[in-house]
Amino acid sequence: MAPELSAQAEALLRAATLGGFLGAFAFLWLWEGGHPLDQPVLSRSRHLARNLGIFVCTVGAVYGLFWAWLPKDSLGWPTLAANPDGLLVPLRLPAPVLLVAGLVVGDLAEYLFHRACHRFRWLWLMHAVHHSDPHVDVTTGLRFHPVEALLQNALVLAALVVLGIPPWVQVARAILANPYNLFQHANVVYPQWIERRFRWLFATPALHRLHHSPDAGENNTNFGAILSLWDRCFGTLREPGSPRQPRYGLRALNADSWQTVRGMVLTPLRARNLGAL
Amino acid sequence: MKFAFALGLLSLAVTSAYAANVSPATVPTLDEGGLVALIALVGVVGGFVARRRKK
Repeated sequence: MAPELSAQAEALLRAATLGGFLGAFAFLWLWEGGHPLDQPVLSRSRHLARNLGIFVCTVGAVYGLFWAWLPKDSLGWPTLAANPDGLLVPLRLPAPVLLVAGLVVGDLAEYLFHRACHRFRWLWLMHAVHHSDPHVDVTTGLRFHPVEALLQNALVLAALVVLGIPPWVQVARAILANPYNLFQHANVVYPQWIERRFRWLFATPALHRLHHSPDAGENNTNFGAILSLWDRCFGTLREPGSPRQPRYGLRALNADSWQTVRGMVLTPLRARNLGAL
Repeated sequence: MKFAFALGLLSLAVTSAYAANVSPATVPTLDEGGLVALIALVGVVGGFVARRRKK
């Protein structure tokens, strides 16, 4: 069996996940209010309310339609996640190695899913909800279509089950991945050393801003969630050129009717006849 | 000297008498919700500091 954590340690991980997410969101939201990189959206509160609205739908769908139906153990973990036949289980890896393996494998799974979202039309129609935000800020990190989030959760859980990585690794990964997602989208001026020192390994905010460009040549690059390593390996990395005013959104979905919560939920159905987005 | 000794004995007696009735001190601990709130509060405070910081 893979190493297990005590109930107390798991409670600590859960608290760090939720607290880290809320704290990072509050930190970046307040910072954006003082020193925005790009001209902020006219009504920040309305933008926040809309993106929070789709986030509530997404969380509800993921927990209500997916996690709630999985059989769970006494600690609330899905029983199928503790797979004794997982590919890594015979190696009896210690917890720190499992943690690193979980981080790397989870990031690769997200990279592949993200590429698939840009490659296949039916996935792109859902992922377009994230890209259709004409004002990328920290709230854009909350803006995902519920069905896309469901599929992504199922894929990550499947990877865990196949490899036999215990679910606490996934929670530990979320402590890093959730705030990092907000950090990538925040509309703030980061110190330049962040880009200089970390871009070789990490998907930095400047790389991700280019990914949110309305031009297909730019938004089909830089798919990495945390690591830029996968983009380097698979030839999808594009370094930002000289500094310029950021451009975001999808031209076909810029109208206000695509920006409401209802508009975002219905985007895959309404946009399916629009041609290229 | 006798007075001081008596006072010492008295204080010892009073302390011992009270000690029997005082429950052991409890160390306040945070539950999961409290820990979440504490970590989030660090973000809120940090955000206000970053917001007020000069460019």
